[in-house]
Amino acid sequence: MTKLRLFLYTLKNYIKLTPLALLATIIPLLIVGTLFWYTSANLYEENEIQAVNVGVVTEDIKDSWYNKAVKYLGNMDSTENTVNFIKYENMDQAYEAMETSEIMAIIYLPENVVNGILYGENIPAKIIFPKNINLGTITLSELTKSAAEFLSAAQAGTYTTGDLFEEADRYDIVSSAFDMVDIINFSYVLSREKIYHKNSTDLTSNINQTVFYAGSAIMLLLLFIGVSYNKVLRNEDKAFTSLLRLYKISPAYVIFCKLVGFTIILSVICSGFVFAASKYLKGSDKFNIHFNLPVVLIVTLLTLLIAAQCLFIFSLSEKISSCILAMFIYGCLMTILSGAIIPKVFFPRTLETFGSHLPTAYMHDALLHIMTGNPLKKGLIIMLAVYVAGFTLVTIIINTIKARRAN
Amino acid sequence: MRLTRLLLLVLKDYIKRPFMWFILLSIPLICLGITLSKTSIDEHDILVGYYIEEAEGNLPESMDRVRENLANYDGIFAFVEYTDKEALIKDIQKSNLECAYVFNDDLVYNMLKGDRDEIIDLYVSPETTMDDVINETLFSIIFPVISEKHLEKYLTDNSDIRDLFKDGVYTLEDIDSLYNMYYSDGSTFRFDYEGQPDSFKITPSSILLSPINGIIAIMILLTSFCGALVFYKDSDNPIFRIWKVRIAYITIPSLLSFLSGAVSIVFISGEAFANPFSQIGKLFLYTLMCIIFVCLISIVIKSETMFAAFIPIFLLGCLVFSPIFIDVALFSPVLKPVSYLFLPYYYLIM
Repeated sequence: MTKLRLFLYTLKNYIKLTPLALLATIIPLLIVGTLFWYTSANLYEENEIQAVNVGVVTEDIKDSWYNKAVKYLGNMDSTENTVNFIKYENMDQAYEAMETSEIMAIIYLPENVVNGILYGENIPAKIIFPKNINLGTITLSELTKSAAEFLSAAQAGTYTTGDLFEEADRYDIVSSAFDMVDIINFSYVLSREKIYHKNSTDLTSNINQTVFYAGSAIMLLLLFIGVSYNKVLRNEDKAFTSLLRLYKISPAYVIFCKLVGFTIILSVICSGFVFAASKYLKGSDKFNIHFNLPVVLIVTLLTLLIAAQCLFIFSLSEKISSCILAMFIYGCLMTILSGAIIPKVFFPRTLETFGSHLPTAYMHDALLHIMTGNPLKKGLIIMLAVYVAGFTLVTIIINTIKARRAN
Repeated sequence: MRLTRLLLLVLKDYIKRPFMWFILLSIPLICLGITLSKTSIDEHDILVGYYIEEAEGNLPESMDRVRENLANYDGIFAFVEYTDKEALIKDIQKSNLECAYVFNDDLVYNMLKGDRDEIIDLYVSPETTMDDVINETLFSIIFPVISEKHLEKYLTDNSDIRDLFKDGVYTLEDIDSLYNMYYSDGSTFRFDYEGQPDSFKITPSSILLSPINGIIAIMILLTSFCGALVFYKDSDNPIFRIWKVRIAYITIPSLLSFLSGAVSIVFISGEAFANPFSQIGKLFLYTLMCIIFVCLISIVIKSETMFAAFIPIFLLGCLVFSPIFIDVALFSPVLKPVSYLFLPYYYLIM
């Protein structure tokens, strides 16, 4: 067997597995994606992503002030696009909805809560979270804290006015003073989003959450796709290894064949998808995909890194089950730590710094560059190349040691 | 050969693999490491920078109060004052800050005059995700100062008791002391929060641990798949093509993963679960569901290659459509029926 024949044999094995890998991966994605876009275009006119649901329960369901309060909560700039308030008639219904994850939390407004705010009783409202904390509950707790601060400050003004007017025996005109103070405070609160002028430190950035998490999902899929090619990626059996030794083909060359072969297959598939996406998503306000030589080169480098990581994982063990499990834990851990799923802002500082230098962090940046056309971050290409070299080198070392032990 | 003997043989095979031990112990060790790290909310707040552009030497009293309120803010955000605007923007670009604000020292005065449009510059980076929430928080810190100042202006200049201020019956200190008393004595409106375990705090460890339950569920399902893959490989030999072998090959790795998951749940109980034992019970039921599911799938799909090709998309589907990191169905209800296709969904809603 010559080296060229080995390379072609490896490539042929990859090609043989590709149709099934595409069938099992791409078709379900296309079905779900089409269903998602079609339904969003026909049912949700503006946003394919709708706000998270929060249940609101009150005894005062017919009270006009209650309805105004719910409307106020829903129109806060920070909640308008992220939180959707759904009214329930009673707590049982709301709890049931929370148990089945239809809503993220429950806001319970006791009887006469709005009158209490207006007339000083201040019956506290309850916010009930589900058993497990998540990012949504943190966001909601901060937002409700802010809403409570607005109300507290406004009420402090009203009570101060009331005290001064009453001390001056001006009971007859105190209600008009209350109205004036309320108008002053409402005017600030209702126009609060106008006070900000947003500047992006990256002037060309147009990454939104849809693009960000689409990149995370694609990255995970690319990391896991090695499972479909496990027959080629895994270590050879002893008979084949002996044959290679007979023809004086080194383990390094075998790794090289697998690496290049997998890269060719993946880069052709991924380039095809980028090309299709650049046509299908043309004019999209979220995605800005171009199919040109620089993008193809980035795709190739990205797939080279995927291949190197897959080969590294599969070199760790002879048993396919252990390798697949390792691939899963590696993929999930790396993706989480690099901030592609849980925002890095919630991590401890050292973990945040560490995570931003992981290979998956650079892969995610490369994917975002492909999807948005944003300029590449400095040093991205170099870091991708360094990781490719690193993983390949370690894989070669591991396989060389195993080959020597087998000898 | 009896099923029990087969199960023990397969168990012995798995126990002999050091790499398998490493994988099964990795999640419990990660959970233990995170729960032991105990980074408190004070040691890790989400950093928000701000810079006050000073027109003259001394800050007005109102801005001093804003600065004091920002420094004393008690929440998940920590407001850090910068004395150099360029340094602030550089830190945003490096993602050392979630976002940053720049405003003039006459902010309160301008707002009282009615000048409220775009008077605070907000700086974000592509990685900023919480700027909307922080905007609300910042305003809730500034608003009490503005509200009090405007109240003073109203009462002394426009109200029906303004004469009492001119005559010295009332002073600005009266307004100040009453306002601050009512604002801070708990007599105003508040929310009460409930639903979390007693020992619960919003900490980085709770954020990192929140998807662990889902990841354990997926790992159990994945080990069932892996067991089936090994069965496919060995079933080339007709001796192994019996139902007992299929069950043994799928059951043992699933149960080993279950044990790993159960240990992880014990480690993270208190941070994530009020009652770990009921959670372990649910996990065991789920493990049985996975074993049955994978046995059936492996009977239906005859080809090992097809079965292996099916795994990545199923894994990704579990990660996306099960409420592990985020519940996609909450954002797009049309995708809820898709969640029913993935076993972890049923475990996570139990």
